[in-house]
Amino acid sequence: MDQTTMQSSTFNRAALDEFVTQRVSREMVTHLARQAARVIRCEAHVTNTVNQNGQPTPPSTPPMEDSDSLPPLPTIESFIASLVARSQVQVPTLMSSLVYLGRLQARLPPVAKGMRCTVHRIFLASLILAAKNLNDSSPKNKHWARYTAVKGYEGFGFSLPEVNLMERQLLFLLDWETRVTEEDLFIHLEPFLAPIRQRMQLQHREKMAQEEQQRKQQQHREWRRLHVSADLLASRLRRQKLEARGESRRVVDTSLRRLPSHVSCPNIQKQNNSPQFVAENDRFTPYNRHRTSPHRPGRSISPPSIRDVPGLSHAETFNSLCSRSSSVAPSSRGTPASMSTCSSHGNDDVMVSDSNTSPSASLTQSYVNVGFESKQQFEPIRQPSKKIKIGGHHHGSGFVARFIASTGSYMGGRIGRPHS
Amino acid sequence: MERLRDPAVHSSLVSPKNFLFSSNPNPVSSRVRSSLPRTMDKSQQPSSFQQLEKLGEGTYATVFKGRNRQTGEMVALKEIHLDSEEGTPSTAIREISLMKELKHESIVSLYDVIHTENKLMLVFEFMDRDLKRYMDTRGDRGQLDPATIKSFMHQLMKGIEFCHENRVLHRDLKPQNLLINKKGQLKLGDFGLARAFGIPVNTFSNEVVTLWYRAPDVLLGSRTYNTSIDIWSAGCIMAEMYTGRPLFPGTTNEDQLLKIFRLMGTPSERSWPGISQLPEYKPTFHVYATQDLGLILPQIDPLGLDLLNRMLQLRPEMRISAADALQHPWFHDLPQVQAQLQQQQQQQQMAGAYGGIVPPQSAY
Repeated sequence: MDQTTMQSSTFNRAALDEFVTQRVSREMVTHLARQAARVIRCEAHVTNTVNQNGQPTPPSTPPMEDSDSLPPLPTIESFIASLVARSQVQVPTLMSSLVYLGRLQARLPPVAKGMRCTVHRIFLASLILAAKNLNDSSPKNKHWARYTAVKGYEGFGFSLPEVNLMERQLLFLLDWETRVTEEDLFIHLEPFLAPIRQRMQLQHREKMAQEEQQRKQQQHREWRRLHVSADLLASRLRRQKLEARGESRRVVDTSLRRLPSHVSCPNIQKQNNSPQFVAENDRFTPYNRHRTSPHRPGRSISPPSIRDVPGLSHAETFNSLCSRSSSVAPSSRGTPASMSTCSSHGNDDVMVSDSNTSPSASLTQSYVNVGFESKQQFEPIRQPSKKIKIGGHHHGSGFVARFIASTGSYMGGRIGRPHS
Repeated sequence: MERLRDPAVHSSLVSPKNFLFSSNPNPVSSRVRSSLPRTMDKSQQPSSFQQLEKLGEGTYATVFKGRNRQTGEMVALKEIHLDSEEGTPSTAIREISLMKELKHESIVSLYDVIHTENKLMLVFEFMDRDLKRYMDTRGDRGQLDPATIKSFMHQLMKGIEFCHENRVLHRDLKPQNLLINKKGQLKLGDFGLARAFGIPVNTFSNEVVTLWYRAPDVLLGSRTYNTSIDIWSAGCIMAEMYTGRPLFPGTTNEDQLLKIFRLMGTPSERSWPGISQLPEYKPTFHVYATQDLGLILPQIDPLGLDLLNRMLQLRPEMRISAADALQHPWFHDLPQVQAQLQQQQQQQQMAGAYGGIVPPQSAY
C-alpha cells in the first residue's frame, strides 16, 4: 500500500514533468472551460431575479443574439482560446489556473450565482494570478485587458479598471492563498496526468517484466548448475559408500575429510559403517527422481572429481533464493537430501512465477486497464469538500452577485466606458 | 499623525470568512471608484491603525511605524503603491501568500492585509531596526562581538531552515532585510523576492538577490538555482558581521564574480563540472588561486571559519544546507553564548546604553 502510494507519486511527478512541456491543446481549453463553468452558476441574462430552480449553466453559453440590447458574449471556451492565442500563455501557467478555479469553487457557497460573464471574469482573474504567482516576469494587467478582446465579438472585452478589480476580488475571495503545491497540481491536472502516467506505468511494467524474465532465466541457470553439482556430489558419495562396503572405514573417513569444512555430513559419517543404512540411504535419495525429471532430460552423469565438490557452495545461494520464494525453507543444508528438497521447491516456484510474469500476460492485463481507465479519465474531478459557513449563504451570494454586477463597461457594450 | 481609515475593500488574515459573509451591506464596490473620502466610515472595523512616523522607503513600498488602535500594540505598516497598469504586484501577491504560511520566531510576522483600489497595506510585527543599522550603531566600526554574531547566525539559519523546509527561497538575504529587536532577536523580513520552489510550473529569473550577496551560480546566469543561494548570502552576512564591511562589494555582475574569484579561487570545469555550460561563463576569467578566508577575518575562530567555508562554496551543490549548518560544532556552545549575551544586555539596559533614538528601517 505504502509502496503503491510512493510509486504513484513518482509516476505523477514524471507525468507532470512531461505534461508541462506540452503545447496548449483543444482538450486543455475545453477542460478549463468546463471547470470554470463549474465554479459558479450563471444566469444567461443579466438580471436580479433569483431562479431557485436554476440549472447549472452549460459550459458553452450560446451568444445572446436575441433582444436585450446586449452585445453577443463569446462562449467561455472561445474566450479562453482567444486569451491563449493573444497572450501566448504556456501550459504550466494556463493549467495552474485550474488550481485557483478549484479553490474558489470550494470557497463559494453552492447557491452562489453569477451573471452571464462572471465565469469569464473568474477565469481571467485565475489566469492572471497564476501568471503572477508562478513566473518571475509576467504580463501587466493592462496587457491582460488588451488580450480580452475576442475576434467576432466587437463590444466584448474588459477594461483595465475591471481587470484590476477582478484580480483584487479573486485575491480577496482566495484570502491571498495563492500558493500552488505539487499535490494541488496532481489533483487538478489528473485528467491529463492519468494517460501519461498510465503509459509510463505500462512501459515500466514491461521493463520490469523483462528484467524479471532475465532474472528468472539467470536463476534457472544457476539452479541447473547447482543440480549438476548436487548430482555429482551425490554420485560421488554413493561411490564412496559403495567403496566403503568393500574397503576399510579409514579410507572412507579420509575421503569425506576432503569435503569443504562447511559441508557437514553427520548422517553419513555416523551411518556409513553399517551396510544396511547405506542401502536405506540409497533408496531414499531422491536423485533418481531428478534424473527423470522432464525438465532435465538426458542429463549425463559425469564421474565425480574433486573439482566438482566446491560446487556445493551454490547450495547456499540457492537456499537463500529458495527461502525467499517459499516459506518452506530447507531446515539444514549441505546434505544431499536437504538439497534436493530445496531444489524441488525452487523448481515449482520458477514454474509458477514464470507463467505469472510472462510479458504477454502482463501486457494483456495492462491494455485492459488502460482501456477501462481512459474511459473515465475525463470524468469530473471531485473537488475537496467545501468549507463554507452555511449560515452565510445570503451574504455570500450577494457578494458574488456584486462580483458580477461590476460588469460596467461590458454591460454597456463599450470597452473602457468611463466609470463614475 | 494620520489616522488610517479602514477601506471598503479589506481583508482580515485572521478570519477571512467574516468578511466574505459580512453583514456589511456594501462590502465590495460594484464599480471601480476613486479614493473614498477620508472622513467616511469611522469604524468599528476589526483593525485600524494609527500611522506614525515613516521608518523607511523602498523601491515599491514605504514603511511606517503604526499603532493598533484596539490593542495599542506597535506595528510596522508597509504601504505598497499600486500601479494601475500593473495591477496587484506579483511581489506583493507572493510576499503575502508566503508570509501567511511562514509562521516562525525567526521570521517577521504578517498580521493583516488591507487592500484598496490604489493602495495595499501590510501590517507586520514591529522590529526596532535592521541588521545594517544595528551594525552601524552598535558595533565597533560595524564589527560585532563574536557572541552576538553566533546568536544572530543561529537565528538566521533557523529562519532559513524553516523557509527551505517549507519549500520557499528567500532570494534577497542581506543585512538590510534582517530585523533586530531589543530582545536580541533576529528575524527574516522582506519576502518581496521570495518564491515557492519544487513544482515544475515555475519559471525563474536570475536577476535575484542584491548583487553583493548574490551566489556565483546566479551570477553565472543559472536559472535552476535552489536553496543554496540563500546559504551563500548568509555566508556573506556572517563575514560582514565580523569585519563590519561587505565581503564582496562588487559594482557590476562581472566585477562581483571577480571579487569572489579573487578570494575563493577561479573555478574551472575540473573544480565545478558543468560550469562552462552556464550562460555567463567565460573561459577568459582571470585565474586566481584560492585564498585563506582566515587571513581577511582574523577575528573568526577556527570552527566559525570552517562553517563559513562550507557556506561559501562556489559550487552550489557543495554548499552546506541550513539544517546541517545548525548542527555544526560552532553552535555547540550556543547556550553559554546566549546566557552571556543576556547578562550583557541586562547590564547595558541598566546603564541605559540601548535607549535613545531608534533609527528608521525599511526592510519589511
